Amino acid sequence: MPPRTLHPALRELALTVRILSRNPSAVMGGTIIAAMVFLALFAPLLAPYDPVRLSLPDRLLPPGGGHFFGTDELGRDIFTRVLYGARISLSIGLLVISVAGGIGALIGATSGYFGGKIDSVVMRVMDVILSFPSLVLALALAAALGPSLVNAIFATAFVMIPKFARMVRGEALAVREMPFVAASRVAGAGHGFIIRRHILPNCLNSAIVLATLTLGDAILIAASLSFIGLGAQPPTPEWGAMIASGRKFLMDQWWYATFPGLFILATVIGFNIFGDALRDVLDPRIRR
Amino acid sequence: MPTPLLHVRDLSVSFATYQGRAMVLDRASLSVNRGEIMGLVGETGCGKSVLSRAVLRIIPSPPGRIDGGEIVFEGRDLLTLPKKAMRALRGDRISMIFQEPMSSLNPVYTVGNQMREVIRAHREVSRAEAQAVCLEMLEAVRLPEPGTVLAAYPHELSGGMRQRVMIAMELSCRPALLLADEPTTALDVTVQGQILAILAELSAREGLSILLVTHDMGVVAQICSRVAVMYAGQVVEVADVESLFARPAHPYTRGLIASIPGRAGEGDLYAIPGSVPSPIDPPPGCRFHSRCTQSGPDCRRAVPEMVLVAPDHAVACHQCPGGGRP
Repeated sequence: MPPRTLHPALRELALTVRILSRNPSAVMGGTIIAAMVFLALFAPLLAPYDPVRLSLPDRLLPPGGGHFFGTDELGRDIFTRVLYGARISLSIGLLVISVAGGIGALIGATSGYFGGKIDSVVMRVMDVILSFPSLVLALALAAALGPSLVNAIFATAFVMIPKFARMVRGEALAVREMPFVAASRVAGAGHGFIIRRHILPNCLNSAIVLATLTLGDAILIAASLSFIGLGAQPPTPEWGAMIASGRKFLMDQWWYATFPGLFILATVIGFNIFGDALRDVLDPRIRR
Repeated sequence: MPTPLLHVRDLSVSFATYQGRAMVLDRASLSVNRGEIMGLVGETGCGKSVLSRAVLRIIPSPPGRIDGGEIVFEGRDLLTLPKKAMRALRGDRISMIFQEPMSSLNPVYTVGNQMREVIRAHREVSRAEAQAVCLEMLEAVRLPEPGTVLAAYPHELSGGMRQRVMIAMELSCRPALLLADEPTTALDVTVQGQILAILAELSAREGLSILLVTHDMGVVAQICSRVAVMYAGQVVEVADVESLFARPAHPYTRGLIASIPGRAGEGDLYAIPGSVPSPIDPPPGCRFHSRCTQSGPDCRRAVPEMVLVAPDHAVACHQCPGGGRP
């Protein structure tokens, strides 16, 4: 056994970070994500203006001068609004992933652990949800619930649940056959306990990777819902909503829709390449 | 004769398959006395693991089903026990260790975490008290540096160490009976000897009964006091270990003993001819008759009953009634 100075869990974490730092796409994705998180966290300090205060004399100013990214048709600074938009989009992403990941993992683990009829029924329901394109289903759901940010989050989370449920179920099918599950049963453990303590933690690796990969999608779907008016409502500085209102001015005031769009692009790419790298790094076969 | 700790009587277990119901256990009976190590031998697929799992009622159902019989443990029939009482019994009064020490521990928790949990599932004790029991148990299975082992993750331990941890963990609530399902099969021979020695010592010191499932006659000879031989889902011979090796009564038992490498003479490996009959459509009469060198007309017609051929030596064979042996 190696001498231990750190708690083993911290040691593993340190190893993960070290391997990640040697992986170029992880570094790139991680940098983009870190930058976005930084901008979102410190938006009030970094932003030169108020995101919702109108200033009609400064309408549609091009980038430069006091406005990095120009202003919109109501004189609001686009740079400021994009920074505040990062807060909204990242929170939406995290919320959607926590809700969808939590519920999906629980459904998947339970379904996979028990198997049999329960599994068949639950998985067919998941298949039905998956059989719709996720954007279309989210759109229908958000429209049915009424346009608001909370409903958009709910709709996005709902269409993401089956992805997690399917993946965790697959893992659970393998984990439930492991001898330590049998060992736990002969030591007197009940089903709920085994799911919580043995099945779920052993599915965590893949769930984290899927969550990272899906975060970009979640942000994109939520932004799409806002774009067509089913998500964030004005004057909320949400990227999708900003692109929607900037679309009218695209020909003459290109900066209005372009900067929020670039931020969506960067965020989604950042999460995708970081998730890809994370998948490689967490694979125990190539870990050491 | 004192009442046995565990008495399995006429236990039948079947599994649903696409070809039909497989009768994996057919009216199997055996008993384990207090403080003894009972060997359960037979070739792969004869139902010995199923029998040990049936005692704890952890046969996956469906497809498995316990069709009949009774399992009396400390005066209670386990088959009629409510689920909750059964769960309280597992790990507390009856424990089990498996063949795969490499994966019998959950890789995401430390050894100590998992050991404490078993104790605290059955006893109202504090974390510190549980920790103390863990250390004591790890010392009992002769693991050096028990403190370090408790803080380690399973992948940091060798197979032999993990099997010791499993034994320590399963015995931490002082059960009366340990079901050991081929506990040494996955280990190399030197480690195997150490594990067996630990089991024998714990049994002698704590009065622990062990049902040792194995296909290794050498292991049986080493530590068991009595042996049950299974063939195709039935118990065909039960005897104390000296009688079994000195005067095996059932032709199958004789075949098993002859198959131990090195017994048949230099360079010769003996194998019982033929193969195990299908449990889905077992042959009528004695299930061994098609492979038996001594089978007569009775063997094809009637299922032989267990009869005593000597005190504490029972056999189910038409060819050796009343203890007469060629």
